[in-house]
Amino acid sequence: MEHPIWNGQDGEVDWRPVDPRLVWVRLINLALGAVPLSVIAALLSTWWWGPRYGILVASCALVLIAARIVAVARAVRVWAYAETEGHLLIRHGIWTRRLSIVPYGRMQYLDLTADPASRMLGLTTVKLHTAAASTDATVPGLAPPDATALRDRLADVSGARTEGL
Amino acid sequence: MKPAAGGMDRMHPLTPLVKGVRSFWFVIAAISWQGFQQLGLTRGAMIVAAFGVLGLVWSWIGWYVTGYQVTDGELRIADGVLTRSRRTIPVARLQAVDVVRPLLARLLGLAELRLEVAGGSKTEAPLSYLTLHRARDLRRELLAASRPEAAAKDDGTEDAEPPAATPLVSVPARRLIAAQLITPQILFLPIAAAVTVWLFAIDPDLSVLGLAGVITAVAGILFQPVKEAFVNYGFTGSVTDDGLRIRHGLFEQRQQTLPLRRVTAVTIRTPLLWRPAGWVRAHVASAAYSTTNAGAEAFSGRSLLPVGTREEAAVITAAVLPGADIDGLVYRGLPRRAKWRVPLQWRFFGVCLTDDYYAVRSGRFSPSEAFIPYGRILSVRVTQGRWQRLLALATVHVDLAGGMSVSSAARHRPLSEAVPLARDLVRRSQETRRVPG
Repeated sequence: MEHPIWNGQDGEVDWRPVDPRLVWVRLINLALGAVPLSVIAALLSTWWWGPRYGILVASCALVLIAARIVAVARAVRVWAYAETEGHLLIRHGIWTRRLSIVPYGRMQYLDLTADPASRMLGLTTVKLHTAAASTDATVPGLAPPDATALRDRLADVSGARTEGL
Repeated sequence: MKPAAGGMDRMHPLTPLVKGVRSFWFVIAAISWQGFQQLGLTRGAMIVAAFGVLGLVWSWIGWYVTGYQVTDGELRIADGVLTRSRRTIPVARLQAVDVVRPLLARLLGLAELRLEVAGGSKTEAPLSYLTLHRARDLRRELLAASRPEAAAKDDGTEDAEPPAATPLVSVPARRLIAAQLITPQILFLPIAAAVTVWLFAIDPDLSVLGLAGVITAVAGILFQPVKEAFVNYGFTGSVTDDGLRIRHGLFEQRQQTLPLRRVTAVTIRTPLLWRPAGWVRAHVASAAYSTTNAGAEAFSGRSLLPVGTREEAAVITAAVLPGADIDGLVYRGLPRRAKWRVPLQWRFFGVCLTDDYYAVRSGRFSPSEAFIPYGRILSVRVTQGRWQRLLALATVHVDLAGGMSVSSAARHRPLSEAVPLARDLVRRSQETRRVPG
């Protein structure tokens, strides 16, 4: 996020990055999903159309996976959140950049989740829900102490200023 | 007659009749013409009668076990034969109350009372059927109990039905029909007819099946405008003490009541084909109509004005959002560079922040405007796509309960303005919420 505007006024917002180990979580999920799929696709095309097409499919898959690895690494680096006086800020995305601002008082509930890959590395995802379905406020890749601390802080401030709908 | 359960009231005794009659239609539709031909008229009629009686008995059992009760700011409904269920709805959570009168119920003087609560994917508690008088009494009772101040002071102001407010807007039948005639669907009709004739001309042996297919397709296209004309027949909108009150419908009459504090947004659209006539269409959104409700209708909320002049839209908008002046706004436009992203329309996008409302305008050909009270904004998002990034533009979305985010997005704002705008909206949203309401 090179453009300074995303950071708000200087020194006002203290952005905290998500855990860099989130890259590994994403890569494990990629390995579990895309890699077997590509192998199957390559084998099938070898079987149907001959080895030349098998190699073509395999190399295409390889390029796509490589691009995805680069994208994952960059995406994790820009994913950050910040707690300010009245609201939580979350920014993410490299192709489409997104910044979400959620006032604490509008929070309806919080979800803490961890998929198997996250659990292996001891990471947790915190998701905020408001009464609007379109609210997009997810902080992935937090170490469990950070996640529970964030949850407790959010629960504290939102309890103090419940505004509901 | 003994009560359904624990001092609860039953629905009107004619309820099973109204509900049971539906099963006749189901059976007739299920047997279809072909079935009747095979069975013969007498046997067909006997089958219909048998299933009809079964339907009536079933409806009667359903009615017998269903009860409702309003106590201590709660509406309780008990129903179910094998699986008994008791639902409790806190009246303070009430979003809107509709009185619906299908044709048959209307002939019998009955009405259905529907309560909308936030986040429900469907109408949470339909009370069907009650006498019209009872339905209106109950509506008044529930709406009075749902007011925030009702808990504090419970004075005995249960006087008679307040005098019906004079409608702020009403849609004459002629205008309603004319407006439906200039929709894309109807204008498409001559083309469809021409194509059919042409198909016959080049291939006279076109099968009946092909023709039936064309007719079915045309009927499907015409369904929407025709339905719109029936549903919005006799449309009037007024504002009473209870909130916005809308009545409409030719066969099935509806009377919707939406407390003004539940309004999350008002949108005004000007369809391209209506522009020569100077007509607009307005919707009002609330949390009661969530995005899980089927279709685009739910997405843009309920109809505030199906077709009307801009002046009428201004009047009803000002009544629903007190102090909103839709024509007195000075919109902040887009920078010149935005023309690379939205070449023809860039002059027609804009935002305006008044003291109480956030207004967004977009579109050149079918302009749409959205008016959102700051207090209804739940969260704000800024997004920037690849092409926007090259031009240093960004889109500001506001999230409202029940959806509506599409037409409320301020697209292609300059980046240097978008993030401060987002933070400003959040700040105003929080400040407004401090005031109870």
